[in-house]
Amino acid sequence: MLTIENKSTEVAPQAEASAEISGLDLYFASGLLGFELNKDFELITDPELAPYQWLRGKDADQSFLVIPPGYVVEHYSIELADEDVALIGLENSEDAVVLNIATYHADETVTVNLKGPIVYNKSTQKARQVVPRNAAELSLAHPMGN
Amino acid sequence: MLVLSRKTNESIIINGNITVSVLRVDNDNVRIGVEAPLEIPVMRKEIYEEIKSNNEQAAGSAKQRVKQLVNN
Repeated sequence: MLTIENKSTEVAPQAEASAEISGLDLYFASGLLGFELNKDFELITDPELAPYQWLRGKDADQSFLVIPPGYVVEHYSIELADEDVALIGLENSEDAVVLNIATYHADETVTVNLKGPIVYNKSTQKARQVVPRNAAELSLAHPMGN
Repeated sequence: MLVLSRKTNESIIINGNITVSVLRVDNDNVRIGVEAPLEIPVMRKEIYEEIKSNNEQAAGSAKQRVKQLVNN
């Protein structure tokens, strides 16, 4: 089991670093839950979208708005199962990047899924939507403050 | 649905590579062990349904629209 902790102060400078649109290919061997056949995505960092990022599906026209947890909650800690760690080839927690899927609702509010985060390995670009061991204490629809 | 009877410590095998074993039975509580290849996610169904439904709501294709909303 590997525990990954994010604190809000740790992510802030990273997102401001780039002023240009950039993309990173990510491979989800198991797809996303409910979207098992969609395996290839591109994570687009667009300054106009910050602090959100855009996870663009390459197999299908399915994309997701994502956000690093540091912008959502002050302290976020997830416990990864050994299978998840092995699938994305994670050897230490420094290679792990955590993103959470955001939902834009019809009433223009945003909620963030803290219960089923996306974790990817910076070195291997392998990703998985995981159910952390401590999922029971995490919110499926955490409201974003304005 | 295929229905099989198994005793404690007996298993079933699915597709030659997924083993589901009955580890313990206490009244209405059954402890199950699953061995599957890494790329096959295994989880409780309630949690799968919850996250799947959330993913379906979140899935979209209009980045421009999102951009407008985010910048509002």
